[in-house]
This record gives sequence, structure tokens and C-alpha cells, in this order.
Amino acid sequence: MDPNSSEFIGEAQESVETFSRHLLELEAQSRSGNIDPDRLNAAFRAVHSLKGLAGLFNAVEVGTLAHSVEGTLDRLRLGKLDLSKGVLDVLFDAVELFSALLAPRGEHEEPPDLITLLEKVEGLTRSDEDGGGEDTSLDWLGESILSVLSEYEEHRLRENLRKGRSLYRVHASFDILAIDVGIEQLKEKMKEYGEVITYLPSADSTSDDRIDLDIILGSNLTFADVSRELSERDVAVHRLGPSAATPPSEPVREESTPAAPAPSPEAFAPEVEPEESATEAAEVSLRSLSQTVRVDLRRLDVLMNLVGELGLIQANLSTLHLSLRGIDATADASRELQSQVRDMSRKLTLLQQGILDVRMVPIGQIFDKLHRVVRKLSRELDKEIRLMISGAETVLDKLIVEELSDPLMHMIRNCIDHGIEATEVRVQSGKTAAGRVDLRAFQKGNRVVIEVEDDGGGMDWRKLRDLGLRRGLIDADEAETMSPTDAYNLIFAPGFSTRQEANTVSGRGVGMDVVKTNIAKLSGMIDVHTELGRGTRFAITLPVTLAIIQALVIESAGHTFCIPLNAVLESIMAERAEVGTIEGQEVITLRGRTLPLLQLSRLFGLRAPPGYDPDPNRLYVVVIGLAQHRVGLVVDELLGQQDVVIKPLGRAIRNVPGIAGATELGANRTVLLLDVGRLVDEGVRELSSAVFGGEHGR
Amino acid sequence: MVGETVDLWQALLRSGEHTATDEEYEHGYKQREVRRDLRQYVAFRVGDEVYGLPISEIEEITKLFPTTFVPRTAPFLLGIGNVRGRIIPVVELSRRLGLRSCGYDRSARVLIVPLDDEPYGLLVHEVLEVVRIPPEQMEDRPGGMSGRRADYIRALGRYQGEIVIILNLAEVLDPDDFILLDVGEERGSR
Repeated sequence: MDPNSSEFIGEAQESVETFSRHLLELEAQSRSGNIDPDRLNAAFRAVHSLKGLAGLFNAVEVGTLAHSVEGTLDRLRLGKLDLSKGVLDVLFDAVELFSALLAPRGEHEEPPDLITLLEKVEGLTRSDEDGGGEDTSLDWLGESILSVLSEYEEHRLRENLRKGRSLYRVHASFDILAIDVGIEQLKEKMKEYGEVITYLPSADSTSDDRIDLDIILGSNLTFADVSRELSERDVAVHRLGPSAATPPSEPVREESTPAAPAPSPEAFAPEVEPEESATEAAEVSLRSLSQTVRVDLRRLDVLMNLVGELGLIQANLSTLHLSLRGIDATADASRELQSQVRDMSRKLTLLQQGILDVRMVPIGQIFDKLHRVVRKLSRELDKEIRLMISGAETVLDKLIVEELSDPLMHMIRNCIDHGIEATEVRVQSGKTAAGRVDLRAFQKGNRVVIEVEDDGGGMDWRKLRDLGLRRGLIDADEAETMSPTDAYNLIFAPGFSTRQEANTVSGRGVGMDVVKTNIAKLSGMIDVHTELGRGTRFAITLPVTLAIIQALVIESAGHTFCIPLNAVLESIMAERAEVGTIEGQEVITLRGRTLPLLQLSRLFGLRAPPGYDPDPNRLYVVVIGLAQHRVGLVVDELLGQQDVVIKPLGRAIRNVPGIAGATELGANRTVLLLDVGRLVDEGVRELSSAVFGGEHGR
Repeated sequence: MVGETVDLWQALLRSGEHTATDEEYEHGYKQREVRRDLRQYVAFRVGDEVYGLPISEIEEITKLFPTTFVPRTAPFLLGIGNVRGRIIPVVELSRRLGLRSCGYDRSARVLIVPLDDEPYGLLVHEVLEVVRIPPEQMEDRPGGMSGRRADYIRALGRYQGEIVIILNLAEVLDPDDFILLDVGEERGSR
């Protein structure tokens, strides 16, 4: 299978992101010194599945790296390696490299440097090899338990002992049909008291439809407490330990216990472990079902277009109904048709809504990436940064989320590079040494607001104004009367950068003007609030969904319009001389058919601006069609195709004949969308029946 | 549109008749005592006349922004523009009110007014100030006036000897008047 297939890349990226998320969590835990082994396991699993995936698709480089990282994680799991800052750094580098390996690569681009990192990862693994030589004997556990413990389980067991926890053997019996639920509940309960180290099959199954398990639990609680806490769970608790004069198993409630820990593991393992892994697998697959029905966005667009076309058919039906009613208004069939058409239009709206909903994804997807950026930058710039995230579950159209990632990354860079002061400066001004960047998302009505806020130095509007003047963005007069708000908005002007020299972090030729343009393309807007010495807050407001269509952008008499592409049959270039007239109506012959022409500029009464001078001998004809009618729309220029976001017009101009809506092309350029159905209709009405008679004759 | 969105609005609201100084930009505006029964109006100039709208009817005041001509609409519709992602029709008040048209300079402003939950822009020559007119200073539209123009006037206010014409937004922005009737409407009715 092809390692470049979107299937592989999509799934692999997801694994990498999962891994990265766990890694960030682990980093936070390592700072507080309390690492959750479950988290480490989850990271291990993510990399492990990535490895499997890479093998399946022959992605050699990804596979090699995953294998190497997996080894490191395994050693971390087994306590053979400490989760130090150095190790974390290498692992984060691995995340970056995974992303680089998965990114589409141009032919001339350098392949990411796999070797160096691999060496680093291997280096980690080799150092500090012999740490656990002085293992204390665990013989007191008894051969029956020791022999079935995996290396990892044994490590966790020792780890628990090292922390001074007591070990308990919890004997539980489950109905074979409900074992998954039962284990899960018990596990949740026991997690509150300590760590579940392993599950062992137990010998004393009482009947065929029950499975008995011994669960080894490490806990700080005393024996009495554990017994009490678990008492209603229908389990028996035993204490394990070398201390006191307790033999390997001290019977507490059950008389049969002496025989208990003597199972033949081989005999039971196949029966129990599939159960266990089945529960785990069920859990995992459930989760992936809810998150990862992977659909190509283009397929959704196809569906969306189909809905649009259905809408046209529905409109035709309703016109048809009107003419039927003209013949006999009382006919039952006519009434029935009306109600069916109305039903259909309601369902169409729901269908459209449903498809739009499918496109929704949580914005947390890119927040994770930003987390990595912050981490990297704070190291590069030697500023300690805490990134606070809220609202990661807020959903937005997939397309918007994708397009947001670059602007947000740039803004965060700005925050850290320009906003947050150097540590000494912060301490002097009475702030915490660590800078804080807040990333928030929340829904507000039918819009989503994303805020990026830092607690850095803020912006001085006078400085911005003076700089704007120096850069020639404003003249002296304007500077004189400029308000602080206007001055702050100067940062969005092209060619404005508050640093004298571009540096590697945020000065790379693009600035906030690009951010603003990109956000405007998504029909969003950006606002800035700043307080000198206190920090700066950027707020991006975006629509939740975009009604996107493909459009042909044309120009007529200096005015730009969009035509929905699904109504355009073709566009041709013609010479003025090819245009003939039939009864005063301009027509052109296209492949033997007579096509009536409509001059858009005349239809709309457009006056060309002075100096506008298209070639009079050449004209562009956009052939538009609705149902069986075809009309050639004459325009001056074809500007190209584009995906555009349709916005409704307000009440006042909603009903302008021939105009269906508006959209934005580039920054703040509002362009009207033509109502093709209406224009074709007008064109057809203008033609005398003689013209049509002639056309049909050919 | 962010760049043009002047906080002038807040400034006017807080500072009343007086123009803010640099000092105040730096340290914030002082809150002033306000007589409770005074209604506040934003006074603005259209041509040579002074008009007013209750503060509560204005959402924001911006500089003139680029607009797109909309064919087949009344001449008073300057076009549509994009303010904060919303498509807003901008009405040239001087044409709508039938005043002599004169050019716009840098003091031209667009008042964003919501009507029935939809925003409209009103292009005026200049925003003057926020005035407080006590109810006793308001008078009804003069009975002698008639015709369409009279419908646009809700009341007349007096402020320091000058007449402020308070507009009736619902009439000024009557959706029926936006579309030119001779194109299409009679065709469309079939």
C-alpha cells in the first residue's frame, strides 16, 4: 500500500497527535513529579499503533522512528529510563519529525533528518542502562504469581513497594456475560485507592458461567480500609507482603484460599486474556468510531452540490405547480403536489444542515499543535511560558479549523516573541517569572470567538503611531488626529513590523496583515485590545459554518460578480463579428445551436468607470442554463474560479431580481452573486416566440 | 473593517459635549453625572441640516468603508459593504431625504443602525456630538408638513437654539423602497 495515501497520512497524523497530547500531559506530570503510568502506557500505545500502521503501508522512515521511540517508551514504562527533560525534548523532537515525515514533500525539498534524531533516541536508550540491579527479592509473592507477571507488571509492583504502598490481592468473581462491565467498574473504583498492577486468573472458578480473577492492587490505604471500601463489591481482599509473619496468602474470608494462587496460568490465560483485551479493544474502537469517520471534504462538497441541485429541481416543481393551479385551482392533485413540494423543501433544508454538521470538528485539533509551538518557542527564546487552553471542544467547520492553524500560530509567536517580556523584566515589574498565554475558544450566538491573550508588556499606541509615520503608512496629518484605537490597528497594515529587524521567530516577512487577510477570507474578523504593561488580547470572530460554493468570477463594465459554477455550462470567447441578431435579439451560433445573448452590463444598467476599456471586438460568453433553457451571458472578463462563502443579503435588498447573495473576495471586497435562474428567466422572456420557433427548427 | 471601527462611539457617550484630550486617552474617561430623564441623541450633519437619532438606535459609528454597487436598486443605496463579516447596505441619507447632494470629506461617517435585527449603514457628512434633550424640549412633527419626507421625521428637538430633526428609522429604511420597481417586479409578479 502507498505510504502517501491520504488514508495512511490521516490516520498516522492522528496517532502522532494523540502521542503528542499524552506527551504534553506527561511533561506537566513530570514537573509535579507524579507520573501516571496509565498515561505513559497510552503514549506507548499511540506510538505502537503508529508503528503497525507504518508497517502496513510500507512507510519505512515513519516505521523506523516509531520503532525506536516505542523502545524508549518501553524503557520509560519499565523504569529503566527516567522521564527527564532531556528525554522529553528528544520525544518532542520525534513528534516534530513524525509531522515532517508525514507532510507532503516537494521534489526538491530536503528529506527530514531522520538519522540524527534516531541516534539521539538510541543514545537515550543506551545510557543509564543498569539502574535496577539491586532488585529486592519478590519471592514472598509466591511462584504462582511471580511466574505470570510480565516484566512491566513486575516493575510496577516494585515501584509500588518502593513508594511504600501495600500490596493487596483482590479476589473477584464475574458473570461471564457481564465481565467487561464488571471489571471496568471495579477497576474505576480501585483506581481511587491506588494502582491496579495486574489481573491474574484464579483457580477456584465455581461454575462455568463465572470467571474469577485475582487483581493485584498497590495502595496507600491500610488493609482494613481497602476491605471496607471494596466490601460492597462482592470481593475478597488479601494482603500480600514480606513484612509481618504473613505467609504468601493469609486467608481472610475464604477458606479455600490456600489453594487459590495455584492456577495453571497456561490453562487459564487464553480464556481470560481475550476477555480483557476484548474489553479494551471495545473501548478503543468505540472511541475511534465517534471521532474518526474519515471523509474526504471533497466528497461532502459533492453532496452539498447535489443538495443545491435538488434545490433547483424543487424550485422547478413549485413553478410547475403554480402553472397547474392556473389550469384548475381546485384539483386535489394540485393541492397534494403543493404539500409534497413544501415537505420536500423542508427536508432539503434539514439535509443541508446535516451535511454542514458533518463538517464540524473541535478546534482542539489545532490547539494541540499550538501547544508544541509554545513549547519550542519558550525553549528557543528562553522564556518560560504557560499556555492555558480553554474551549478546545468548540466546534467549527473543518475548513475553517484548517485555515486557522497558521494565523493562530503566527499570533502565538507574536505573543511570545514581542508580547511576553524577558524573565528579568517580568520579575522587576512584579509579574510572575513565567509568562502566560491564554488560548480560548467559545461560541457566541452563531459565531465562534477565539481569543489569544498574553500577560506581557502590551503595546504603546504612541510608539505604534510614530512607527506608522516613519514607515509611511500614515501622513503627519493623520498621525496628529490618530486615536489610540486607530494606532493599534496599524499593526494590521501591510509593511508594519514593530521589531527593527526580522528575527527567526516571528519576523519572516509576513505579519499581522496576512493574519487579518486570512481571517477575512473565512469571513471572520480580528480585534485587538491592549493595555500597556498588562498585556494584549486578540479576538478572532468567525462564523460557525460556511456555505461554500464554487463560483466563476467575472467582470462586466468594471464591476465584479460571481456566478455559481453549477449553473455554468461552459464559457467561450467570441469575436464581435460572430454575433448576429434575430428580430433585434443578439444571438450567437454555438455548435449549430442558436444561443440568445444577454449583456450583463445592459441588464443591470452598469456604467463603466472612466478609463475602463475592454477590447470591443472580443467578448466572453458564459453559457448558463437552467432546466431546458440556455442563455449566453456576455461579460468583459473571466477572472477565474473560486470557492466562495455565500452570505445572505438583508431584508432590504434580498429581493433584488438577479442577485442571489454576496460574498467576499480578498480583503473586504464584497462581490455580488448572480441569481442564474432569474437571469435565464428574464432572457427567455425577452425573446420573442419567433426566436424560439427558429431555434427548434434547426 | 476593524481599522475603521472607531471607538468614537464610546468616546462620545462618555465624554458628552466635550472632546477627549490626550490626557484622557491615556488615563481613561471620567464618568460624569447624567440627569436621568434626559434622552441622549447622536446629532449628525447631512448637507446643511442637523439630524439626530436616539443613542439606543445606533450600534456603532465607523468611517466610510468601501462599498459595492448593487444594480437595480434605488439611487439612495450607496451599495453594500462588509462590517465585521456582516453584509450591510449603506444608505446615503442626503439622497434618501432629498437634500442637495454634496461631497464627503474625511469627517464623513457611517452610523450602523440595527432595524428589526438587521444592520443598516447611514452615510452622513459629519457626526457632531451627543446631545441631551429633555422631553419638554421635544415637539411633534409640524402639522403643516406633508408628503413622503414628512414621514421620515419622528420629532423635532431643540438644542441650544438649534433644531435637531429626529429621524423615523422604520420609514427611512422601508425595505419596499430599496428595489427599483421597473426592473423585474412586474415581470416577477407573473
